[in-house]
Amino acid sequence: MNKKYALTGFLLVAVLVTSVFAAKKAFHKEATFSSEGKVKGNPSALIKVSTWSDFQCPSCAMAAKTIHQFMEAHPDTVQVKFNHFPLQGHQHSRISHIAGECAHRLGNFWAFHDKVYDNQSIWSVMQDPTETFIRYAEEAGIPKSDFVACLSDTEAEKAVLLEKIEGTKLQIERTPTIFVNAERLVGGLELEAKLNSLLPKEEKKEGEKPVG
Amino acid sequence: MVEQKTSSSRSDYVWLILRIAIGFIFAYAGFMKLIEPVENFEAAITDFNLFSPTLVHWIARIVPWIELMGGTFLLLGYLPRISSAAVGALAFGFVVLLGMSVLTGKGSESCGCFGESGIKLSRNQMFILDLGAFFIAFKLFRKNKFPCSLHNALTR
Repeated sequence: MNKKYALTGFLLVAVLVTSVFAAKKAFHKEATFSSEGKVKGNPSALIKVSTWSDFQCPSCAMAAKTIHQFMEAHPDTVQVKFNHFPLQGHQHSRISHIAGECAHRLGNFWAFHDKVYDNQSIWSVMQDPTETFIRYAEEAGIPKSDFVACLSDTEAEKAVLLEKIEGTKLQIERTPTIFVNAERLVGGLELEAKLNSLLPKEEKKEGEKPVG
Repeated sequence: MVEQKTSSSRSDYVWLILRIAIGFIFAYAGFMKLIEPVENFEAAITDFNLFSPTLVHWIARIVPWIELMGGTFLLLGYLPRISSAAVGALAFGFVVLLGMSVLTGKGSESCGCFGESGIKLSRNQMFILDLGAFFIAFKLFRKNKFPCSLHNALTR
């Protein structure tokens, strides 16, 4: 191999590496935790969890359960924010997220969120789950007439769409994508281990004590 | 004699187009994966349920670079035999992976092969594309002539 050949190779590699890092930098947006929106938990919590989820995605239901259990065990240590990220491949994602947004606007998002995930396997196989969502909202204490009016209001759908666009800017494509103190986890498999690793020493020790 | 020469040069140009096409496809696939957060590709590999977390970690960080370098080199005709071997090996690996995924039903329907924000192809479409890429790369590896290539320009 002559010198010219080797130099060309070196230049090619340099150009490729530079373009990748330049493009990566141009598309990168830092995930920040804002306490506005669908948030629950201690505002001064040590662990901030921001989740981008689809109501019809089974892994999201599992991640929601993990977060719920962790919050019950460590109520003051974690604050959680839910962000809509309805996927196109799921038949009822759109309507479920509009319903979720309505529940948020009418004041009881988290009760509705829990019902939707707990019963995901039931409503996701229905022809039209709208009536079921209305029932979940009623059970969560949301007035039926207001909820029904909200479902047909384009503002709720717009809010869902804007949130999804925000997620796309963070290069989110899969659900659940969860930021734990700005560290990205995709798929939720490592979520429990990650949350436990961030617990303060005293709480870790408490968790090790035998129950009862 | 003249007819034979014309047909041989026509075949060279067909292989040139195929070389550029698969080079471009692999370079694009690698680039799209590299500009996204690595966790997206990690999740796509994890979906196949075939590798340990440590292996997933390294595959997600190394494979896109080989795709980008191998694809670009093949596209430009730089180290054409080595780059066709690299692209062929990757295509073979993807064929095995996607084939196992089709047979076992493991892995998501969208393979994440072009990154999550790139072109969306189904697992079956990708299987066919990779199978084609493997045969083209294999044939290119056995060739001696690479028209319109950096290799020719630099070794003239």
